[in-house]
Amino acid sequence: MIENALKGNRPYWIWITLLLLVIAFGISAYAQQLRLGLSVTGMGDGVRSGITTMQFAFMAAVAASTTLVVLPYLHDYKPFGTIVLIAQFLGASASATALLSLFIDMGKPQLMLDLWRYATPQSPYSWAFFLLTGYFLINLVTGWATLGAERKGVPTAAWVKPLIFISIPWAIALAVVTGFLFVNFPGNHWIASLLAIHLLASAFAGGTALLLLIILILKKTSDFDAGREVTDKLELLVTYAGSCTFALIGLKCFATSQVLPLLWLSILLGIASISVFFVPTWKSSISWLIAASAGVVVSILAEKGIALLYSSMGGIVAYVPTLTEVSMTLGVLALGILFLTILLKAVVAVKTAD
Amino acid sequence: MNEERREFIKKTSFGFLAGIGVTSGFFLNFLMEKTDTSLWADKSIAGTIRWGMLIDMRKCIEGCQKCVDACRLVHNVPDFGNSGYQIEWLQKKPYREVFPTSGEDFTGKERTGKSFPSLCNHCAEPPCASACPTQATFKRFDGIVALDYHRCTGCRSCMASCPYGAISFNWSEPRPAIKALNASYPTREKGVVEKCNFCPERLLKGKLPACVEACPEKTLMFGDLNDPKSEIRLLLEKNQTMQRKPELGTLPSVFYII
Ligand code: SF4
Ligand code: SF4
Repeated sequence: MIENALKGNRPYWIWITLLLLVIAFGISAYAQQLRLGLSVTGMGDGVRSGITTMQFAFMAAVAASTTLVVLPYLHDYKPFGTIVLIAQFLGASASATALLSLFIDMGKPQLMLDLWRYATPQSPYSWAFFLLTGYFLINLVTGWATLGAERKGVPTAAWVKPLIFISIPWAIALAVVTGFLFVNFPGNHWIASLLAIHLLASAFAGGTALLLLIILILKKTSDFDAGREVTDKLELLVTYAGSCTFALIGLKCFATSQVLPLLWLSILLGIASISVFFVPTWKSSISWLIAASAGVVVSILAEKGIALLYSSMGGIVAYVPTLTEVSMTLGVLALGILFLTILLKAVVAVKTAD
Repeated sequence: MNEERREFIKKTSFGFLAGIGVTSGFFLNFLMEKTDTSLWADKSIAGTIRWGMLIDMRKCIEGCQKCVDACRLVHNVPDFGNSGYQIEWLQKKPYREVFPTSGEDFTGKERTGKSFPSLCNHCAEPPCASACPTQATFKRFDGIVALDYHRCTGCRSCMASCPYGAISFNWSEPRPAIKALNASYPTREKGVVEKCNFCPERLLKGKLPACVEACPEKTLMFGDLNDPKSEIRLLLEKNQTMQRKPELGTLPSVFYII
């Protein structure tokens, strides 16, 4: 199945070359960070986390959200059968991207394995690392086993289903724990009590929108078509989770005065994107749908990004990521996308074979 | 009314008002309060120590940096100046930054207008230690919150969870930034965090922490909070003192008289 990654048309190879190029830039930037320390980033006094951390938080949320597709499928909602593999592989790639983002943010990456060796139950960071690694493995293994069975036309092995069941509470824990790591909302406000809900809702909205985006892109660029019923259902999920998220972001507007314009921007973009799903003429155009799901992703990213503006000791900081930092972060992203591309190539090959 | 009587009424009523003021928290004193040391262990468990510090700001000289300098020297703390990558174990900071949640805005400047030595509080419930994924930051048997530089992975979780900004990260190689090298204490490398350690290497030899020893005014007082007869305990019982952000429940072991 993996050999399909080596077969492709011209646009496919251009795409792969592009990804490899970005990865190469990322590696050279990372080499510089290894030599000079994290001072090559835009972080410093009062700015402990940057775009790498943001990518980590977003990708962990995306990984967790794929459970929204897996769950109905387990309950015999058949239409999702066609995309459950895509969801699992998206879960695996997003976890890998999140883990790598965490890795390039470490001061001493050579001690990565110590995170296993000295795993500490009361530390959220320790949990994030453990949950992400586990989620990556579960999704990769179950997805690969399902795909193999499908290709051979035999039923999936008996051990796969229990593993998929485990992945559901796993995903929920993942969304909440990784979000906690990243919280930097000023003050001890009542809004803090809504945190876990907010993390879950925004993870589900952003992740499902991304999945929808991927499926639409596949429809445009390959023979794979998930079908109208699937995209309709995904739009519905994005609408539910998205409305919940934007309502919660709206509540945040009452709790702070410092970043109001940014919060409003995020809300307006989100609501505008969701409303596309309600207009029949727009809904029937793939380009509009792609724009709408991208809009939801961007609006949630923007809201998460606001946390970067707060300094650790309160107040707003001036944080500008450096070119090195951007190259590293994009490099990790490209690596994740490359991984996903290879996996999806295998999926499309098997699905369109018959 | 004769003069005397008038004077008497004026004085007593002023005293009465002042009384209300104190109890209802009108005056500056409300920032500080007496510590109920009876809540602490009376050393019932043999050998339990909780090192603590009392900083008497009535003695501290504005502009003096002797404690800060001593700490830098003893622990090879690098000096990156104002580059945005500064490493601080002990530093003097304005009231607003040290006690951001204690009232100040409308009180006189004679107490709050100074700069306050600020350092790791060696909290009895240290959030930094629970955040650390490798237990590189941990609480010792004697209450000191210590750091294992070899185990630190540089994840900065501890910095994110310390509400006092007491932990610094080595954004770049620290060794070139050390002014005068002290061969008897290790240096650190890039990618790890560091903070005040309450000088266990000196306590072992029966010496006081370097900052305490360096202060010519005896502003800093160090001792065992669990020992009811220690000087610091007696001072805590006698004086009104305050801790940084006590509302967070981290139970700092560093106290201030302002
Ligand atoms: S002051 Fe900060 S670093 Fe020190 S023990 Fe408390 S939480 Fe940890
Ligand atoms: S930076 Fe080091 S000491 Fe701090 S939490 Fe991470 S591993 Fe622990």
